Amino acid sequence: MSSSLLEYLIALCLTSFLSWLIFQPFAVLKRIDEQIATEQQIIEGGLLLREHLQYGLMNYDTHRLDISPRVHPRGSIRFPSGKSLELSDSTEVDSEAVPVSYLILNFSRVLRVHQTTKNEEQVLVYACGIGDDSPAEQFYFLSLSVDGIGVVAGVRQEPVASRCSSYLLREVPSLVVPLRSSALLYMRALIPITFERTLYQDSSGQLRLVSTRGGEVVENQPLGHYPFRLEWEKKPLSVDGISMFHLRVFGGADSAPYTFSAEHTLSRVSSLHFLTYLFGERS
Amino acid sequence: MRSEQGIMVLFVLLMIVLASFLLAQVYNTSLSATSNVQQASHYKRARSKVVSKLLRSSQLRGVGQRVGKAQVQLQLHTAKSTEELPILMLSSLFEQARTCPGEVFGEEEFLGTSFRSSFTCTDSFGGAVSGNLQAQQVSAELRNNAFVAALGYIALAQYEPLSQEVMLLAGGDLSIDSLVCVSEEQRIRLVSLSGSVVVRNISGCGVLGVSAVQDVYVLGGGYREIVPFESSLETFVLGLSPDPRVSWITG
Repeated sequence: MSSSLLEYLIALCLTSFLSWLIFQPFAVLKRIDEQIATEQQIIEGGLLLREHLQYGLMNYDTHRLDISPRVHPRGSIRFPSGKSLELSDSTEVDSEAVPVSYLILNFSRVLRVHQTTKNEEQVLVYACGIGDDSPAEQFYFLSLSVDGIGVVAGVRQEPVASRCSSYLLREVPSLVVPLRSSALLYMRALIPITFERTLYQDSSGQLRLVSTRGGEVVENQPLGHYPFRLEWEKKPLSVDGISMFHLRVFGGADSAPYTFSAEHTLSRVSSLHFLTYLFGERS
Repeated sequence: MRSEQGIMVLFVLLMIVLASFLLAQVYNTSLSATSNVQQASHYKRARSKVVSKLLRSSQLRGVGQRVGKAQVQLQLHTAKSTEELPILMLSSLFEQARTCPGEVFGEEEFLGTSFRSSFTCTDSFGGAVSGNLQAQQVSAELRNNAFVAALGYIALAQYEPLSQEVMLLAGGDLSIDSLVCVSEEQRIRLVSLSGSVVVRNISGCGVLGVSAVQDVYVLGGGYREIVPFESSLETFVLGLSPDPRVSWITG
């Protein structure tokens, strides 16, 4: 009886050892499967971010103004003046992440400025649409003059004609366009800004899309939780303003990064050149 | 004997359960791995597609292509001519321009659609200025310049250019109180990209090339002929001249 039990135990050990030998490759397979799942997440997150920026760059190619997406310093979202964007504690930027900001413009509702009047820190602007559309209902604009580009926000007065309105506007900070020191009195065109967006990763690893308006956060959407570290890099491709954006995604400290690229096609021109195209010719 | 058989049955049952569990694990792992490998290869294919698309667009990225696309974007007509005959590149014209620091124009209201800068220079000192150009006393250097340009308006009181060929290009209005030519052979070109060209008194000039988006007033009768051209943009930026008489204007 005892010898049989011993035999069974020996048989059990041998069977277990053999089973281990047989199933060991499957354990390796499982590890590889987990690794593939992680890589898949990295690729998925990278493509997600790339597609968001590519959407912004497609909108950027609806015009030739030089307001390229702006890559921020590592670990912060800063205005061109150097001031940081205020976020809640739970959505703070990861100290290793590099955020990127871009504008989405509505070029079908460009306004031509006919009259400007100073009103203390604000400017009363009388402007008309260049197309058949009714006056813009967004009051967050890119303002153009021969001196450069600025961002203005304000309120609309009552429409005085089908395509024309008066707007009381003031210059506001933007994450993409620097504040201008010069007066707003000579702005010649207003282009509605649909979104000012920033892509970043918070300290918990959540990818986020934050929309801002006049320096204030208006929405902060989570895009998904991804186990990687990311950084953007902007590389100029030509002297006339074409650039490519590289997104590098690091899965681990010692693993090689994945690189995704987004680019735009049109070269960039000065405000004078752009305004000349837009308004300078006889219609 | 019965107890031995019982142990054997239990052992066999145990082994069957163990094997079933392991096989189920293996099956699940393999299924998941296959699915992941398929998805990974799908992403790889999608990525290589994107890369090859980017490469193709990079290969096409010549200056002509960009200008052509820009023209499609802005609904202009002839791409080919743009590539062949660039006359003035407005983008680069003011890159090296002289700035007019600290002199902010102090108006409270601005009417009209011509371009105007917030800054005003009193002399161009050769070439272009990043602002308006307003001079009561025209310097010798400005008189000798063959090319004077300003982002905003140009307003000169007394202008007696000395160069054989002269071009004044204003982003906004161009106004000269008195224009005096040294000979009728002088080639004078006056261009306003968004406003009017106004010469209140002119004397001793031959053929004037004038382009303005709004109005042209040349008073005084001291010239032989004015050659107007409809589109300063097409003539000076794109290099297209619809009128053969103005071929000298575009060089």
